[in-house]
Amino acid sequence: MSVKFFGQFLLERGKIIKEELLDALEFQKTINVKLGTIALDAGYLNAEQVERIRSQQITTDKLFGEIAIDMQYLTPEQLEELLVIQKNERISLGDALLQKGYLNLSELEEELKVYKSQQNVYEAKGQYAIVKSLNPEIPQTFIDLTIKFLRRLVDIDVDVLESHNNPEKIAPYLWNVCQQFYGNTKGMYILSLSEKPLLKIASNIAQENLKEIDDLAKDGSKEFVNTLVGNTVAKLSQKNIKLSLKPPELYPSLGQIHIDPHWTQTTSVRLSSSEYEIQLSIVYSPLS
Amino acid sequence: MSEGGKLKILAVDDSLVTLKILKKTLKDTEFEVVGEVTSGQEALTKYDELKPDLVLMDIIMPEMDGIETLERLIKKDANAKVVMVSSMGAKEKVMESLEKGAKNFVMKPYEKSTLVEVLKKVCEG
Repeated sequence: MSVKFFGQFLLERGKIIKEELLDALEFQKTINVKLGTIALDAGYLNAEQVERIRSQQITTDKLFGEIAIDMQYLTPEQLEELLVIQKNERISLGDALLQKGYLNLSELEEELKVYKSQQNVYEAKGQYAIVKSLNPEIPQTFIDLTIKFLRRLVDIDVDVLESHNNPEKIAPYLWNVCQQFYGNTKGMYILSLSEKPLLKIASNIAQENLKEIDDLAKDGSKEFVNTLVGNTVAKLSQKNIKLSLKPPELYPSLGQIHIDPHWTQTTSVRLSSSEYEIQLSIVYSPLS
Repeated sequence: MSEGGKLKILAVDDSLVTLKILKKTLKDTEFEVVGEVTSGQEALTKYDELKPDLVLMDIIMPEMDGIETLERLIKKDANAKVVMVSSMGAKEKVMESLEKGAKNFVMKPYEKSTLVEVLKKVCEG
């Protein structure tokens, strides 16, 4: 079970029903306004600038405000002012459930306590395999960027469920999107997933509702991996780890993935959203 | 120019999705994708056949990559206008391709306005 979503946690514990959760989320959405909208309201940005920043957000892992400053659309003082407005007006899901009357204060406090203790256990499980790897900044960067790109590009919000260093378990699902990298280290990135999340990812990339794993769906999933691995490589180059990429490949089973014996490091994390489970693995040689 | 009076583009990318989105992105602009190929080798053949105003070339491709294809294309036609398309991770390759004769580049995923702006600049130059 993932404890990423407090709402899902409450559902599974029978504290609220689905309709109540959806209503509270909708309520939260109407109150929690995005920074771009606040900047528009304040007259600091125009719609075209907001659109430009949002499209930049897709290609970097920077926050909206950071990009706005880089592009000299906002001064640091203006950003600070907008962030204060955003923070003051923001409410949590717990607050939304309280305001809607679906939980009372003592129930909320009790549930948050249990939720946080479980969250800590899962975070520790996620870090377990990373800290056991040599050059942990390599898998850590791949993992961080994968989580970000799943959310930003294909609308899948995931959390790390568990991790391991077992090279025999790098491809537990039917479909495996792989991309090799080489340079200061050599290795492979592997996104292992079943048909359902693959179609979800490919549909978002292809901007079309794909129903089966055809050539377009295969290409869409490869393009997603190509974009996120490309961004990871750019990020690693800032840490002086220089890498180049081979084209991504899609394999239907572990048997077809060629793992070089020099790639002695394996870090795998299992990611979970409310609907999907995905595993990503990074198999690589230690930095020379 | 194409029959519709638009500037002709040959798109080279091993990803069908990228080609599809590119066509969609350039719809209703002064550019028209008149040819799509998925390999460097095909690009060289199709270039002679179509004589495009511009070539949009992916960098990371199996077998003959975008840079090698660019070099061969420039050997055929020193005036070929080639714009490289790349993901963030291939910045060094982008620089290499500019040294080898590419006119400009765009980073994936790109915004329509950025792409059109780059294509216009290259055509005007």
